[in-house]
Amino acid sequence: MTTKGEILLVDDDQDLRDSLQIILEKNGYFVRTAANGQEALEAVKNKRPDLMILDIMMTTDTEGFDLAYELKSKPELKDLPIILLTSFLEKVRQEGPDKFQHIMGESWPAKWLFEKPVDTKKLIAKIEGILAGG
Amino acid sequence: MTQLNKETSLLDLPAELQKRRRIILGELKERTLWFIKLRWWVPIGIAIGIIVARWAGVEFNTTALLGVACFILIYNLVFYLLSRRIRAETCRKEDIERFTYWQVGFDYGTMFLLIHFTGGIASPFIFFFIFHITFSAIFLPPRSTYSFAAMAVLGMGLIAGVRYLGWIPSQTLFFHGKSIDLSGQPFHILVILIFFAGFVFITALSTTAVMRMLERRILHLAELTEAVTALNDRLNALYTMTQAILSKQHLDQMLQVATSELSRVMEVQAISVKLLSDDGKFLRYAAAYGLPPDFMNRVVELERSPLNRRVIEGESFVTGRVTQGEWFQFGEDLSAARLQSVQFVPLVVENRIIGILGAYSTRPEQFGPDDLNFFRQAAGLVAIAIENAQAYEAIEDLVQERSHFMNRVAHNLRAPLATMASMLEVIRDGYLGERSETLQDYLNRLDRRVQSMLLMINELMTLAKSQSKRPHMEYKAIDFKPIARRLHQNFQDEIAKKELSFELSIPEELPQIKGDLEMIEQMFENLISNAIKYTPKGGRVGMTFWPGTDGMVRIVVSDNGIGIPRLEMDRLFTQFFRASNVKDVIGTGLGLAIVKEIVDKHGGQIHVESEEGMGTTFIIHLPIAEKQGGKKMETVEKRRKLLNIIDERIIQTQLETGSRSDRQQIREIITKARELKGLNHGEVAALLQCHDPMVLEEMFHAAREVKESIYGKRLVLFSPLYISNLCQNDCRYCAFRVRNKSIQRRALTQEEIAEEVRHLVRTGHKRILLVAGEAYPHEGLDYIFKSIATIYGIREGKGEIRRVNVNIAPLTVEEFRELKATKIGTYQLFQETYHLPTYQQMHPSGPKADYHWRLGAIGRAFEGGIDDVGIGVLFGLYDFQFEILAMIQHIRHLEKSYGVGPHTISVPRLEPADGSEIAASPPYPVSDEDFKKIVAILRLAVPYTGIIMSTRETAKMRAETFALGVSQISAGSRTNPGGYTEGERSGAQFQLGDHRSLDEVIFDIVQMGYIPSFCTGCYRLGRTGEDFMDLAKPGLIKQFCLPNAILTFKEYLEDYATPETRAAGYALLEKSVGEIPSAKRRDETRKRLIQIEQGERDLYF
Repeated sequence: MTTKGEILLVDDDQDLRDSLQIILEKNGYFVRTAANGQEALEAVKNKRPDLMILDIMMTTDTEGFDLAYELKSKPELKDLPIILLTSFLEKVRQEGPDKFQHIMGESWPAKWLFEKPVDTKKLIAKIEGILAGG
Repeated sequence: MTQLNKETSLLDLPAELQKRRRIILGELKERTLWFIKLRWWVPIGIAIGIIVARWAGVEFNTTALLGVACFILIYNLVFYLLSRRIRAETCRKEDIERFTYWQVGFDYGTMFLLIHFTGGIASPFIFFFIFHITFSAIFLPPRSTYSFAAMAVLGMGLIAGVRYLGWIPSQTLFFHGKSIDLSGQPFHILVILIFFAGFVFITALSTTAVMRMLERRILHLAELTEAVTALNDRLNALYTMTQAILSKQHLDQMLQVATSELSRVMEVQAISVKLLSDDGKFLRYAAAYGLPPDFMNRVVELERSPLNRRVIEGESFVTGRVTQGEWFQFGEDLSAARLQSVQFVPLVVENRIIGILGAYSTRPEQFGPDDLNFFRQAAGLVAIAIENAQAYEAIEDLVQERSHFMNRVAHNLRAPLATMASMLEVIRDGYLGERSETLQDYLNRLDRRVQSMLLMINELMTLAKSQSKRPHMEYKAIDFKPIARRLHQNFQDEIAKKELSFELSIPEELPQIKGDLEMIEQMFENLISNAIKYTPKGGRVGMTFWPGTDGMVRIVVSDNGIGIPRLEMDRLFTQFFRASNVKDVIGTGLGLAIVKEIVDKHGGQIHVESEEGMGTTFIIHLPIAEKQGGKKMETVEKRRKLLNIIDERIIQTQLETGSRSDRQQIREIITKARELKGLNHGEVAALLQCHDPMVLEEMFHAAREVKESIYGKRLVLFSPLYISNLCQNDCRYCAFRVRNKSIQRRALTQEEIAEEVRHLVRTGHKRILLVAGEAYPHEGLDYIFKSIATIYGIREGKGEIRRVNVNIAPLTVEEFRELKATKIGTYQLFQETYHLPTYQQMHPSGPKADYHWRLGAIGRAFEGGIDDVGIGVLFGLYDFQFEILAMIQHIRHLEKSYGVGPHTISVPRLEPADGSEIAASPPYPVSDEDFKKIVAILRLAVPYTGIIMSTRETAKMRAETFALGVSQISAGSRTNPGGYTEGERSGAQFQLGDHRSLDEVIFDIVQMGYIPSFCTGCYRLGRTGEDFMDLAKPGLIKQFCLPNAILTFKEYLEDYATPETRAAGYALLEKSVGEIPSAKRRDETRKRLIQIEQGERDLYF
């Protein structure tokens, strides 16, 4: 089966993981999942995905962010596209834009942050754009 | 805690003391001058004495006595001339003394002469020395008094001796040939001399003793005053500290103010505040004013500091010479600072000691029992302040914690909901296979409930956040343009989906505001998403930005949607409010509560206007940010100044002071007013407080005099023209109020306006006051501009309207500029009431609810180039005394800021209006007597400003107030749009008190001896604003206005008057021409009158 790309979906909420996985797969993506930072690291080590969808708040409040930071600091993963999810926008705002901007690049947060519940149509449009090199 | 009012601010005592000293010196001057005045009577007394004595048969050397009288007259004249210097402000006590020496010296000389010519030692005049001795005792030091006493004795001895020895011829009194000549009786002479000496010295002794006693008293009084001053100073310090406690919530700032103030008032080098740690073992410095900076980091262990421990146990410690050992015990190494006196008192709150307050001075023995007492009181205040600040900080922490907690709760609520939404989507959108129609329907409904719950959580969060934002938060400058662009983009889809037209209007030059960007965006989002939600397919949503000129940006968000039911408008901004007509739209009822919260946070205002089925308009005012660099700050600065124009505190104080004025003071004020120079605020307050019928009559008399001398017997006539009674305001006293459904609403078309104007011109009017409610038909303000053009364009028979004054709602500077370009005469705008709480109560909604937008309008009109403005108060809404004083403040502000005050003041009284209870029974009714007083006082206070009386007053009231000061009246008025062509009917702004036609009014005025004037000469020659004032002030009104009034009245008589009025008018004209001051002008006027008879029109000087 040809896929439009491979996505690593990281979230500690299995229900959400399952739902998003179905939706993404039906839209033509190959989806692997991970339930926490550790699993995600291993998954990335095994095979580099084309894109990562990552929940910020998992076991700890910043687990997803810490993971993103760790991955992006590796030269070979510096340009791995990571879309962050949060249901706690307020907190992300409180953390201050600078901290995220530093690793997520100039187009943070418009390009890389999605609030839950995710508007899947927009998410898929965004993923398509990114994978097409936008 | 009750806030201390500034009114209770204490007397400024040093100034008071200075004032008293000036008074004492002034009194000394007064007495010296009085001395001179008294002396004028001496020669007169001598002359009368001569006549009486002669008549009684006493003989003496008349020529010599007359000579002495002349001498007195001459030197008193010299003294009188010199006394001018004494009057001068710079004159010192020594100058007055020297002046007195000379006077007493001369008086002695003439006294000796008088005595010599009337019998020497036997002269009855020797008793007069008592005056000289007493006066010198009053004015001069005691030594001088004794010298003068001695001189009197010596002088008398000399006269007696010389006469006894016969060195000069004796001059004596004869009565029927007998004389009292003692020259031959040395024993008599000696006895009299001895007793005379005793007499003068006893007098000198007793008077100087009395004077010394008085001086001691004065000195004592001065000392007492100084003590009171010091006490007052301390009280002031306590007051300042109290204010700091009330206004500064942060401990550091508050302690900074308290310690510096204490150090100043107690005249000490340093003040320290040490606070006890929670475990009671340490003292930490919370403030160390005047001490080395490293003190702030110090900690004193209580265990090692017995003296501190004693203070902490409740004792005070005071010493005048602090020793090295004591420093050591206090744990403060300050011996190097040469501090000598210290005092420490415990800081006590509710029997708990929380720390120590200390004072340090370099002077030894500085602190007495009084100082300790005061210091303890101050410590009480400081302790409360510390508690206060700590409590405040604790609350802040709590708020912070609450916000944190709320966020957490929100997240925990949102996360499962979000997952639910995603799972629902998977089923609903068919990812798991086909669904039956019923299932699909249920899934959709489920989804809607989930979405609605998410929305509610979001909005609750926003509300909680905006409420917990600290008031002193730093706001950033915000530019509206990018926001507007973003909003447009964000809502594009929804707008397209509902096929709405979205109109965004944002001017090029829009000032920034200061605020929280996120909150402002939220505010717009809520308003626009509401507008979209509640507007049916194909409708219109608009957002317009206006650059404000009173320091506010105006934003209007409008739609033509379903509107809000009238009865529910009051609850619009409350949390969880949902209108009864929005059942099928998802919403939480929090959106508008959030908007209101955000607007409030930014110091703005929001109004809403809505009609069910017609749409809703939100109007928001947000304060403009101060620009950096200072130059363009004036907008905010201006608004701040605007807030200070009307100072209620001053008004109250002056009304109080005014009520203490006695009859004499009121009379002086009236006398000043007669000089046509106007009155200041305090003087007006005194007149307002005068209730004495006799003095009131004098006041009325003066007002009539001022009126007559500036305006002569002239009355300017105009007619109001109501073109529209559409209004979005809800003024509770007005029939045009938006809630009044009983009147017929209409805006006249240009054709209808033309018809009305033709009608007015046919009755003889030349001046129109255009009036419209604050809502214009679809053309907006252009409607007004077009109407003005229409009015000026009418020619009917020989007449036309020569001046259109305008009474419409406040505009921006730019709009005023456009209004000016339409060639209006006066722009008229009444504040209605200057009393802010009353204003807010009377104007609950609509743009007019903004008091300051209205108050600043006159200033904006000036800035827009309009230089004739009219102001006014609607009497009856609030206490008229307050209104008058506030109006005077407004006028003085305009004069100060723009160099010119208002051209006219209108004095409408509240009259019954359809649909208004307020109008039927005014909260502060003004009696006829008070109304006359208002007119009279205004006439005296601002003599060159015209006073306009409206149609509202009865003919009788008009007649009485014409004389007192009214200079313009309306006549033959209708206050309903279309009233001139169609007659009086529903739709009028208020009920009229005067129903007569113009001709009837004119006939009546002529009977009273007034010339009705239709003159518009000044306006058309550009003599407006300051130019007009220049013309008016030197009294030239009579030179120009009287002849112009005569000419325009002549035109009226020729063209419009009934035969009866014409006959009466001609008689008055003949008389009035004779009253023109200059003969040349008189002749010219006569010539022009003939020209008018021959058919020429519109002649003026």
